[in-house]
Amino acid sequence: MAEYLPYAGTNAIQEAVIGVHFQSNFPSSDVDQARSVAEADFKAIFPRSEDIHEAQLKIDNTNQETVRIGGDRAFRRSGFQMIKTGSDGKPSRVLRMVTNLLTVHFMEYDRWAPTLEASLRYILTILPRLDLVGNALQAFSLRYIDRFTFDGYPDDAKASFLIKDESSFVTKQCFSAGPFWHCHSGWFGTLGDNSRILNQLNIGSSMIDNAPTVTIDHNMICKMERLHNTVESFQDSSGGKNVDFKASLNCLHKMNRDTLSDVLVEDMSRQIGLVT
Amino acid sequence: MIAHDTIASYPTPAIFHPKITIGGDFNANQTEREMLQEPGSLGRFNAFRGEYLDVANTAMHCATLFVVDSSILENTYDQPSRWTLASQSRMSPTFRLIARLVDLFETPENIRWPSMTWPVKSAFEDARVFITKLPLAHIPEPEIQFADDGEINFLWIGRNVHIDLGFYGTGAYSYFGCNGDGQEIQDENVLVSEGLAQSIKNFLTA
Repeated sequence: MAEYLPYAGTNAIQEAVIGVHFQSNFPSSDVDQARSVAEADFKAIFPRSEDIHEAQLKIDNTNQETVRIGGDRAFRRSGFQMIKTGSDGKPSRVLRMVTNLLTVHFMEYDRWAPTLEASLRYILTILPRLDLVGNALQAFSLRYIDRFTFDGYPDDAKASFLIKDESSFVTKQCFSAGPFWHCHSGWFGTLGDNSRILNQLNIGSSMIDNAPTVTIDHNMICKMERLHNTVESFQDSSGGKNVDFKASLNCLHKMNRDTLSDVLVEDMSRQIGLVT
Repeated sequence: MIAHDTIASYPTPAIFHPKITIGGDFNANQTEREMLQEPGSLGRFNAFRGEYLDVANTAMHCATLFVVDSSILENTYDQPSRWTLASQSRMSPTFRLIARLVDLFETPENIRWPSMTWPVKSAFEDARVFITKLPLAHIPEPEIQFADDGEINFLWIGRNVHIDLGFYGTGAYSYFGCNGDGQEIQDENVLVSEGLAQSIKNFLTA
């Protein structure tokens, strides 16, 4: 019988992203400092290093079946990224610093514990080299993208094969919509005393690689109750009083686990290890 | 200024603003018209949050495009944010292996080797279930081949490891493996429902 298949066998995670967010874009001095320490310490893990450039364009609809493009077409360097590639030559892990974000992307996610440890190591190595007094830390985030591919005839795919019909996160309309649908939602949760967590949960079914594919994109962003100008204060109380960075990320991880358990049918939850 | 990304716009009302930021990858040498015509260069947009961009390789440059009037774009809602790398389409390893298995199993009779015993359906089903139990984020994908005697073989052949695992459709599998250090592993009648044997996983991740 046709069914939905988790992205990587026993694991449905296509990408996990852990990030910290600053008040404003990085000055080039911070980018240079971070790159130099990252290349010195992590070159063996991320052999490829490259600049990220950026340009901004403005697109206007002229209402004459054409668009007008304006703006400054010049590229400027806005960050860098370091890449580890997998056996297929595609990125398997990326450390990226661009605009006001420092993020670690895992495309070959195995388990939470080593993912968390590696992320903390990368981030906490770079943070002391940045000018946090001039550009404070204001938020951190954890994002998961899970993917499930339907291996039957595309027209036979339907939400109920994968999604619990009693899920509080998916509208009933999706269950009668046929193979393609989407349901995007967002809400605020809390962490510690006063920190608020924005949950953005985008679930949708579309054709990817010629097969109906359900993508569950869950982004959790914790806006800290205050700005942090030192690594120590961020590390010790990013989730509020006595809630350190590691505990805060663990909390976001559990939040995603609970959300996915509510969304997925039992068999799939068991298959990918959400429940035993 | 419209924020580039999800985070910078949070928690201000900007994330709900009708102006939408989209992202795209394109080569610096492309003209604007080529950029707009290239599938994916405009990316997808997402009404709930601002979008950012990705870079595919060193030859590519990033661009952030600010859309003033979203009506020129098709609303697709079907991709994760461009801020993530998942949007660089990477086929599911599970799906790729099962597609390969199905392709082999459905080989038309007139082009099969005449002397070959074709695998029975239960062998195909065992192999299929086994694929869904592989930790594919952690181990390389096996080659799939059919042996002359009706066995479906999964092969991992690397510089330092050789593993041959087979199904006949009995609900179990057998395997043999060796590595460059002269170590050997083997077992028979391992239940498919138990998934990949730990000794194989150890070999593959050493």
